Amino acid sequence: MIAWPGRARRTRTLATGLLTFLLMLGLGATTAAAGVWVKGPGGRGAASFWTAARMRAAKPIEIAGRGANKENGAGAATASGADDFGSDFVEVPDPTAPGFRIHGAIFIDLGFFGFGRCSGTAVRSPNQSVVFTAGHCIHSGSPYGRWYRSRSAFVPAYRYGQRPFGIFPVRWVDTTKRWRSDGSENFDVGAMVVGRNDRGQTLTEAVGGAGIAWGLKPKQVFDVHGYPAEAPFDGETQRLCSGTPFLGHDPNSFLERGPLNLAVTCQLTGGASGGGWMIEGGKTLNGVTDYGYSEETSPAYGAYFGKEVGRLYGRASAVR
Amino acid sequence: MRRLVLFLVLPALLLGAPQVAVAESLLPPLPHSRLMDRALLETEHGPSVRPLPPFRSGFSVKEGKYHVGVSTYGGGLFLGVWRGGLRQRSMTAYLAKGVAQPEHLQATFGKFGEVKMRFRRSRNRPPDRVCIFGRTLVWHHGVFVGNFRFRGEGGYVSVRLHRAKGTILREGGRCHVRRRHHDFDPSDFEFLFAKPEAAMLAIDREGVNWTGLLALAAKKNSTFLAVHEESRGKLAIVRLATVHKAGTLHFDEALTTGRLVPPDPFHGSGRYSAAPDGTQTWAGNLSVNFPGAPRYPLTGPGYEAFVEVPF
Repeated sequence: MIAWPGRARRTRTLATGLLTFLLMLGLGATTAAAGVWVKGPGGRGAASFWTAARMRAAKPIEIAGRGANKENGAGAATASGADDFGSDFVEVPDPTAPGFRIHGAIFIDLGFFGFGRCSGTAVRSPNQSVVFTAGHCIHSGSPYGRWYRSRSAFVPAYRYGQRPFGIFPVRWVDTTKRWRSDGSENFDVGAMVVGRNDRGQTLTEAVGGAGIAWGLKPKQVFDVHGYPAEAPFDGETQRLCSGTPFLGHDPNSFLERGPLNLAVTCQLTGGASGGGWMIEGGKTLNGVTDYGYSEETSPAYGAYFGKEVGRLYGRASAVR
Repeated sequence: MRRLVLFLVLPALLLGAPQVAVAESLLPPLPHSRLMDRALLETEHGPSVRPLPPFRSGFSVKEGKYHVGVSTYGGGLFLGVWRGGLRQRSMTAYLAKGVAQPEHLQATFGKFGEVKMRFRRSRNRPPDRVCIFGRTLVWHHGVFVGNFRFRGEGGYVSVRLHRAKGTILREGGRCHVRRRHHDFDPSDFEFLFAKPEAAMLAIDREGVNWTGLLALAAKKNSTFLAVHEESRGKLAIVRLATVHKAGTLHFDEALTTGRLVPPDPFHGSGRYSAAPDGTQTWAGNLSVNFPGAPRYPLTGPGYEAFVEVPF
């Protein structure tokens, strides 16, 4: 056994302490950067895997991934048709037009459970590849939750199986920390980084991207986009609730930690989860669709974009 | 079944009805609305739920014909005003964000008032412990000291105080039941398990605000529950009235017509009818007395009604 002289021992203790501290910082940074990498094919592989038939077969993630009785992801209102439903979620005639092409459908391979789907929005970032969506489209929430990270893809301006700007395979996904740790709907926001499409373009090269804002007052007027796939909708077209003002907060939101979530009038159904809530004439993302209740007249609810969302954007845009 | 009982009743005890186990508890009852249903139903699904905080703390005082109290509720706080017990109760709860720690309650309830209180544990009175379904519940006794003021809508009740007896309820570890606690009566929870003969639900939603009436017809006692949830700025208001006793709730065999006359705090009656074309109507002069919102209407053109016979 080697006896350390007092000074040397102190130096070694200091060095060990410093090293441990640095390691902890480093580990902390790694944990904070969180997110997970997605295994899957590149742009061409994704294009061949996600055939029109597979995309049409995809069900809203809350049905495919969590069970049909959940209210998450905009309730299960049923009606004979979208018109009878009286929804204000109207079809976008040309989703390839500027301002609409940044919105798209997200398709997720759930293995044994089939294919899931959500909505998402391309956001400008240094890596030109960030998509924002709902947290539950990426992770099932709570410490016992699981990541949905197998062969996912983002299809901007999707319409009836067409992929006018190609298909962007998902490379990396992350959610707010609180969505993963608590499953708190006040933090139900997720982000993904996508690879190049089959033409070799980055996402914002192909379609552009929205700005993103957080920390604003909740009283905004939103344009709500999404691809609702449950009846009376079919998920094949992009839809829009235009100029819908902030209504209030869900009383349930008071029970969970974090900022109160927001409600807007927009009668949508499953599949619209993750759809972008745009402000400033559709230029800036300031919310995503998270859930609704099963009554036909239920508003749509989305998490408030606060500091946690800012941090999530920082992590996603730092991915190379 | 035991798992179901554990998942349903234990959270109810911990969060909703601790006065069942300890008669002297000072925690306000939780508003059993969609909020509570959610807590219970999601717990039923097992581990994929958000963890409920393993404590609840608060205080209550009697003011005139009402009880007024403040309690933590998940990550938030609520100020509750109520009358009656578990089987017949009307209540209004004002929910707000704030500091919801076991020994520190702080929140602003808009124009209604505010609370800023800290807990001082009693030196003389040891905690009470109860073992229920293999889990220990621990009540710490003491006083909350600080400022609390409340004035309800139209001044129906007004409270201002600096000191109030309070309780912190924590969930302890596993335990073995050695004796049945004399205050715990399983029949208080029979409404959770009783199979109803018919059920009627009427809902009126306007934006975020929502009103619901649930009537469950059973052989002995019927259950009537009225809930109104409202978002008001940085405040949510949840009003509820519940009665678990004999009242009139009749439907014909084909479930095409029905009449509902619940006891106090409800007033008047409601009539349900279903036409051959599937149109359902819900009419009458049925109303309910919520604290701060007397004669709140439970019928009208905005209501959708549904009637079912459970299998």
